[in-house]
Amino acid sequence: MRYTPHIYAKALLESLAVASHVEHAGVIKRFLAAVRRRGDARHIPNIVDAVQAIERKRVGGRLVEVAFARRHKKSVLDTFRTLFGKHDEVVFRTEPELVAGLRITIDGERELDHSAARRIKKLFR
Amino acid sequence: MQYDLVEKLKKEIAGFRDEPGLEAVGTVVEAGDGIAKISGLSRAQSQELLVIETGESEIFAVAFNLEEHFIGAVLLGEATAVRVGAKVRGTGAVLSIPVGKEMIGRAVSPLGAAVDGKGALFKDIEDADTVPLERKAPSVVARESVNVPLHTGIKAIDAMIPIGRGQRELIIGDRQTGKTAIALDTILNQKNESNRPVCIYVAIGQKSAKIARIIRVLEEADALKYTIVVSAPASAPAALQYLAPFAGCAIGEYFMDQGKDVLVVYDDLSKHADSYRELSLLLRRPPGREAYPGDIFFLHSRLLERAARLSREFGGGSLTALPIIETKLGDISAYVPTNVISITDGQIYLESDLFTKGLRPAVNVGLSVSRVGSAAQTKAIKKVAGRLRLELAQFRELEAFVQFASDLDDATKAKIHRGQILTEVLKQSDLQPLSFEREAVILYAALGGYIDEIPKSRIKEFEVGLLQYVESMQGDIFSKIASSRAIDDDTETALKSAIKSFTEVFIK
Repeated sequence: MRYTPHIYAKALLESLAVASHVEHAGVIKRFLAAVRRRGDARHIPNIVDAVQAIERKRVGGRLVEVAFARRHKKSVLDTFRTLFGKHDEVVFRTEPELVAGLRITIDGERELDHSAARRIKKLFR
Repeated sequence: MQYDLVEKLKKEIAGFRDEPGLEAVGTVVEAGDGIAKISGLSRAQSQELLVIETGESEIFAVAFNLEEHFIGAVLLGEATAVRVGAKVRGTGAVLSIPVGKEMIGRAVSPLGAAVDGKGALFKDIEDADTVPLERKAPSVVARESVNVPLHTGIKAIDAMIPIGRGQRELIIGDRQTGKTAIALDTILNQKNESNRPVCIYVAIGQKSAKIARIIRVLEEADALKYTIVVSAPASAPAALQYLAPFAGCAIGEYFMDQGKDVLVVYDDLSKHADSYRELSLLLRRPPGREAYPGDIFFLHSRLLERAARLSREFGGGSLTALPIIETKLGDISAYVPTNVISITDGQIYLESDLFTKGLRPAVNVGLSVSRVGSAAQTKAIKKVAGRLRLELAQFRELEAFVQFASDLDDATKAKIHRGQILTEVLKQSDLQPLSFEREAVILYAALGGYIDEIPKSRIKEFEVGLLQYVESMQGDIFSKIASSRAIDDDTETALKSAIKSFTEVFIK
């Protein structure tokens, strides 16, 4: 990959910022063509993630990933969602390997692990 | 037994406290060739030890490249187990290894694990001290000038290129010229030294069979009891080969800090530079001359600067470094050789031509030098070998005229003959180091002209005979030289008469 997803995302967002709404579709089309020309088409999902991350950061939001050991009702998830800011993107996931409890990861950089799996691991370390 | 284990576990569970908090984490976004690209962990330090959680186990990695959005890390374990998406945690600690006197006599990996099949190094790992692999070299204040000799047991080196404790002396030469043999002889020769240093042999990128042979040689010569072998064979990942000399140095520093003398052999730094080049290219660092990264000089200078002789206030220990560099077709002006030559305090240059002519050790006296060792040379050797370098230099100048011997004047003929005798005397088989008092006796006889009458073909026989004669008939000569480290007038008179009487008997 010649350029990182972050560089592609920054270039796209800056191009969109100076273009009018009518031109947005054309900008995106030309951007995708430029990515393909550089042989980075398979990295488009990463570029989309980077665009979302930059946009989230711009409005002061965070990506919050909440992993539970088992499925929960929608009402429980909605209650959880209210704990975070309106600009935060909250993603729920089920990970049975946690055994019990939950794990919250913020922006992929900070983590609060309240799972039984972690406690067991720590106990036997 | 089972009851004890259960009770111990129960106690641990009862006392288990777990208060989870926010932890910094990262994610593997790319992995391959022993390298991982990690996103997150924006507060990681350079050289920080990272833990990558794979399904079954945890793999350690070292943060090498700290970039704006990613960390380039070098994997220290099974690289194939690392998957994209694996969670990474920082440890907040730089790479360290457990050390202790239990390591003496053992072969260990650069991460401090035993690799000789003799069981665990430490009864309880908690009892072992831990030292970082990278450490700042001792400061100017902590150092003292080199003033204690480190005898190699090789006549040519001890007489003309003396090495002192705390010195960095490079052994350089093409393949198959006897570089490792010199390092091994030096280790073997420490067996009978009164203040014996701890020896550390660091094998970097060597064949496993060669490392096994070296360990066997050390074991058979009873030298393993004071030696540690740090093994990073050619089959080890580049990361371990890169870390090996730093591990050897860290172990050496542990003993130096206790006031002991240490000898570390880095065999060899050419392969170390190659492994660092491999890692750097994989981490996409910009390549420089010969594709080595820009900091290749700093890599070796920071390693070799850690060799030192500490002052009394700092314990008085020393760390002597014998780095080895392999040249290609005798080219000592290549990038890495010139770097290491300029870093070290001298070099022992071995030549293929001399080796094939049968001159062993194949030391090129003209190109070899010891910049600080002469201050530490034992008085006895200094007294007898002061003229050796000069006489050999004169001989080399006249050597071309050997074929016209019959047309030369007597003085020139005598110089050529003396040069041939001295060259013969300096020949020495490997794994047969001599104590310095024996070296002094042989060199005294050679430079004093006592063996000028002996045919070249019988010089070796004469040497053996003379040493046996002095040992059996005048044994106190050796003990006097060994204890005073000098040849006083009485000893010199006794030595002269012993050599004369033996020479008379030998010639008859």
